[in-house]
Parts: sequence; C-alpha cells; structure tokens
Amino acid sequence: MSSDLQIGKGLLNTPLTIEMYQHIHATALQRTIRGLHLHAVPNHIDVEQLKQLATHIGSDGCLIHPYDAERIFAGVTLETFQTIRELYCSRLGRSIAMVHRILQILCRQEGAPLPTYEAVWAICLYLEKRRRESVDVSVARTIGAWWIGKLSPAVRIPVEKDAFYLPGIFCIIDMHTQHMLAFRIAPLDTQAESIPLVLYDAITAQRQPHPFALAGLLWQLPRHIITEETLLPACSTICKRMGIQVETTTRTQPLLEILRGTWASGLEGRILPRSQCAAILDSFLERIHGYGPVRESKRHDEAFAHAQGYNQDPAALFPLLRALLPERNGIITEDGLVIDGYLRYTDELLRFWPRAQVTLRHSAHSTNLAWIFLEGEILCQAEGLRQVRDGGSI
Amino acid sequence: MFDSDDLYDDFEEDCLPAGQKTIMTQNIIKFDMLARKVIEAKEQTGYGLLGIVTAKSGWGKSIAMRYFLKNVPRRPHTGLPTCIGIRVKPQANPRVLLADLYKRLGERAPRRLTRFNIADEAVDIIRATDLRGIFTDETNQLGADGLEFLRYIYDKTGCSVIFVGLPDIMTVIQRHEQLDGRIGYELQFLPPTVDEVLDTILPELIVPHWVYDRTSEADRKMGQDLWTHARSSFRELRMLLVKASQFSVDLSETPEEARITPDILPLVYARRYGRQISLSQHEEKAQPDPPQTDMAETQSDQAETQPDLPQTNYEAESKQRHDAKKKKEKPGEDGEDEQ
Repeated sequence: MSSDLQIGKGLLNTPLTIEMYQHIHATALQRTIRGLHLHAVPNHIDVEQLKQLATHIGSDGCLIHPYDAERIFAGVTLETFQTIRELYCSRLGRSIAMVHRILQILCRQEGAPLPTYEAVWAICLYLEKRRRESVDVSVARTIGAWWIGKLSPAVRIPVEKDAFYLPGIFCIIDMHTQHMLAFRIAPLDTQAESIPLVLYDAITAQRQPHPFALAGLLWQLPRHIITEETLLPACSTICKRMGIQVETTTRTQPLLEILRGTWASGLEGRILPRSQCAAILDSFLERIHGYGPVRESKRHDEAFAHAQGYNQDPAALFPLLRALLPERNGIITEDGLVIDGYLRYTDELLRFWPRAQVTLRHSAHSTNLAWIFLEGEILCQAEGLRQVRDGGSI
Repeated sequence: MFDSDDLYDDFEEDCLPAGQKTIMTQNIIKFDMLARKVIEAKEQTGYGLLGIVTAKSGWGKSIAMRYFLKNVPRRPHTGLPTCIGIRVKPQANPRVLLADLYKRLGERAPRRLTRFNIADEAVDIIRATDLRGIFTDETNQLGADGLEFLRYIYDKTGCSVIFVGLPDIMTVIQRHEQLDGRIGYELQFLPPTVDEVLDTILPELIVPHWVYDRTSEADRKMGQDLWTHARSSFRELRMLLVKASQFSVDLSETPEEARITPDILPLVYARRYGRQISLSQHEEKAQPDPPQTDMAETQSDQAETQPDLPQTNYEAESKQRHDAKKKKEKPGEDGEDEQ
C-alpha cells in the first residue's frame, strides 16, 4: 500500500514530456488564432503575426522549439497539470489569470517552482473543451420577448414597528403567453438591485430538466428583453453575454395595465406584510390569468424534485447568473473567513489572502453559500459557518 | 375562472327554484347585519371576531347564508368575494375542511399534506386570497378537532368565522372555552310571526298553482292554517305546498285549472299525519277529515305559532319541550311516531 503511494507521488512530481508541452502550447496557439480568450494571451505573443504565420505554413507554425517548451513549462509536473485542471475546469468558471494567481500561491506554500503564466495559459486553453463541459449550459430561446415593468400599488409594507416602505413590484412578463414569469416586491428605491434579481428569478423559474442538456437542465432564455425601466449598464452587459438584446420602451403590456388599475385599486391604503402582498398577487395571477409564478415554481419543484441538476443551486450551474445577484463588500480575516453581518463564510483558498478586500454574492437559494470575488474575479464558492454567539450557544 | 356558485356548495336542498327570489324575512335581515358586523370588525377596529347563528332545522339558516354570500361583492385584487361558506360534511375533520376551503376558493389543494401542516396550509391560502370571513353551515357536524382548526386559522389570520348550526351547537361551543371567549356576536333565529308569514312570506312564494292574495280573508285563513301545519318550518311549508301543488293537478278537471285551495290542503295535512291514505281514496272522498289524533296534534301546533303566543326562543322551546313530553306520555297518538 505504502509503496503504491510512493510510486503515485513520484509520478505526480514527474514533468511531462517535451512533446506533450509542445502539443499543449500548439493547441493553445491554434485556439488563440480562432479568437479564444484573446484578453488572456501572454503579452509577448502577437496574435496577428501568429495568424499570418499559420496562414502561410499551416498549423506547424504554432509549434514551438523544444528548448522554448522546456523553458516555458519549467516546473510543470503532472500534479501541476491536474491542479490547473481542477481550478480551471470547474463550474465556478475561474479566469486564467485567477488560476495562475492561485497556483503561484499554492506552489509558494509548498516550496515548488512557480509555473510561468504562459504555461498556465497554454494548459488552460488546452483544457478548454473540458472547461466548456463544466461551465456551459444548454439554452433554448423562447418564442416571445420578455418585458420588464414595475407596479407601484398604494400599499405600505411594514418592516418593523411603525416603520413602512412604499413597495415597487418589479415584474417580468413573457410577451407571447402574457404570463408573469417572476416578480419581486422591494422598496421603490432599490430598483437597481431588484431588476437583476427578478431577472434571476425568471431565468431560474424557466429551467427544466432535459435528458440531453448539459448538467441535465435546459435554460429558456429570450432573444430580446424590452424594459419600461432603465437597466444599469452592468445588467445590460450580463444580458448581452447571455445573448439577449435589451431595448427600452415607453409602452406597456395589457397585463401590467390590469394590475396597475384593477388589482392595485383593491389594495389601496392597506398595510400588508411583504409575503402576504406577494401571495395575493400570485393568487390573483393564477386565478385570473392562469399562471401564478410562485405557485408554478412550487409545482415545478415538486414535479422535478428528482431530476438531475434541478435541486442544485441554479447560480452554481449557470455561472452568469451569479452576476445578477447583489454584491456586498467584505474582508478576508486572518483566519481565512469572510464575515458579512452575522454570516461567516469559509473556503480553503481564503486563507491565502488575509486582509484582502473581496466582494461576495450570496446564493439566492441558501444563506449557506456565497461566491467570493477577488479584484472582480471569481475566487471560490464559500460555505457558511454557523455563528457562535457570545454565550457559546449556536 | 371563479364562478359565483363556488361561494357555497350547491346543495339542492338549499337552492331556491328558478324565479323564486329570497324572501326578506326578519331573520335574513338580522343575519345580514350580524355577518357584516363580524366580518367588518377587523377592518374597523383592528380586532377580529367570531360569530354564531343558530336556528332550528328548516328555519332558513342556509338560505340566509346563501343570500348573504350571493350579495358579497368581489374584490378587485383577488377576484374573490370577502367571504365564503363551507357546508360541513358529516364527521368532517380538518383535512376535509381544508379541501373544502381550497375548493371554495377555486384553488388546487397541495398534494403533500400532513396533519402537522394542514392548518398552516389553510392559513396560507386565506392570506393569499385575503379572505375576511368563513361561514360554516351544519357546524353541529364538526368535532373538537374541526373547531380547534377553525380557531387556529382565526387566531393566525384574523379571518372571521361565523358558525351556523342547530341550537345545540351552543352547548358544544360553551364547552370550548377558548372558542366561546372569541364569539362577539350571537344570533338565534326566531320563528316568523304569523303576520310576517301572511303578509311577506306567503305572497312571495312561487310554487306552481299557488295563488295567494294577502288582502283576501279566505287566503289569509288558508295561509294561517298552512303555517300552523308547517310548524314554523320553511322546509315543512315548502313540502306541504309542493304536495298540495301535485294534488291540485291530480284533482283538477284540467291541469290548467289546477290551483291550491283550502279544499286541497287537508289532503296534504292528512297525508302528513296519516301517511296511509291513497290518492284513489281521496278522489272518492273529496274532503276527508283528518283522523282525530291528527287534529289534536294540529291544534297543539296551531297554538304554538299564534301571534299572541310567546315569540322568544326560550319560550318557544319550552312550549316544544312541553309538547314533546306530551307526545311521550301518549305514545301512538302521533301518526308520525307510529311510522
């Protein structure tokens, strides 16, 4: 048993063959020529020159000299390769720069030679197919565009004793079916945060299990979003990355007109807890329009409870969705924790950046999960720890 | 789409025939007032209430409830009325009550129900539909768990519950201290006065071949007689008239000439007490006298509802208890008992 382990450890520390390094690097260059991850290309590589070379002499033009391969991949062992694969080909969707950063810290920790950025970049591009399998999602485009609108009923939502806020109800409507796909009730002045969240809700509500879909889920996204409200540039960018065109309008939808008129008139002057206001709206939509988003979502949850991927956090499966979740600032403590109010998050990578400023996005499905971003790049998915109170009780 | 008929179970027994409008009796007016007071309490004062309405069988509880529910307006933000009615099924438990609640509200009941989440599911649906009041007809059918269930949802949501049932429900409610303390309004139906019957009820009754003129002395006499035999029960009054209507067709020369007359009614009374007289016998004997024993019973009933006789429930009940005692003392005298 122990001898096997010795052999295993020995193998892991073995450098790969020069031919393998050449092959990895050539593959990376070929993918760069095709336009993959151009922002991550090492500075000294001139992509235009590379393209011309490849045009003249074919793919052989991408092959580097064995001497260069040995230099670039100095210190890269099977273990290094595997670590890069683990860091890069996960659903977290780390960038190449972040993989390199993490790898440097890990190597420094173990006293191993630091791999060059070019080696990490080449291996990442070489593993691109594998990464795609991990981060890609299956998307089906909906027939109709989605519509973003807002209701402002004259109700007050209590927050604490004698304190209320005037709510805005941010909604997404499928223009083809006239179904309200999702809505969020929030203070009127939180529009910038609420619209991405309601978009998140609508997208997650439309996911369905599919036998041939990646990770078992098929995501239904529209081609167009028409909005009555102004979207923040960040939100528009995410939509664009999802292949959705955003258009602003001054018109409205029949469903929204009904809700602004008939429905809102019945609630005028009422004080309603947020949950009850949401339940009343959902019940009304279900009864009058045949589709209550909350009820529909519950039915889906019941029907697809055992389907592959359905019970996983949607933002863990669809990396772009995380960008729709609200962002909060935090600092990594000396113990490798990120503290946000009464919640504490931990991950083994956090201890390498004590005192670093990070941002975190909480999972919309579990307070036990948050994604930590270092300088805008995803670092890790951290798990929540239960807060120990002063008295020692949990 | 939610239909107005969904407000309450469609029990044939409680449905008025086509063309028959609800007759606005004092009991219906009082019921309406009580229901409004109970349902609006929360909105007006911030505190909810429970209510209870009792009446003997056939005195019009269900009709009053149905009338109230039919006239409750729908609210724009729910598409539903303020309140609904549940007719309690025999031996109904909380699960059955919840199923009825969902049905009345036009919602699909959740699949997974445990005895622990039934009450909370009810709370959720009441909040989601912003329901203000639930009427439970035939409350006497409810067991302790059913009453406890209704108290829980009232406490949790403030949605008023109005219990409608037979007078003996009071003893059950009084036994549940927690429930009794929450009852804000109580109404016991009184039997209609003879004047109300003669001037309001009988003229508005629509039964084939029933023609009644409140100004005609003969019709008033017939009406008084009829009400006496109906023993203050609308249900019995209806039954007598339905039978009289059928007899009137049988006995008339042509169906078009059929009319309920004072001559026909003794047949119905006789049939009610004797139950052995065949139609052919009646045809031979145009005006048969009811058996002596029946007459005695009839007179006793007549006395019960004379306008100058006691009209409070307590007194009416005492009279009935006295009558019942008399019946027990003379077994066999009452034709009905013999059956």
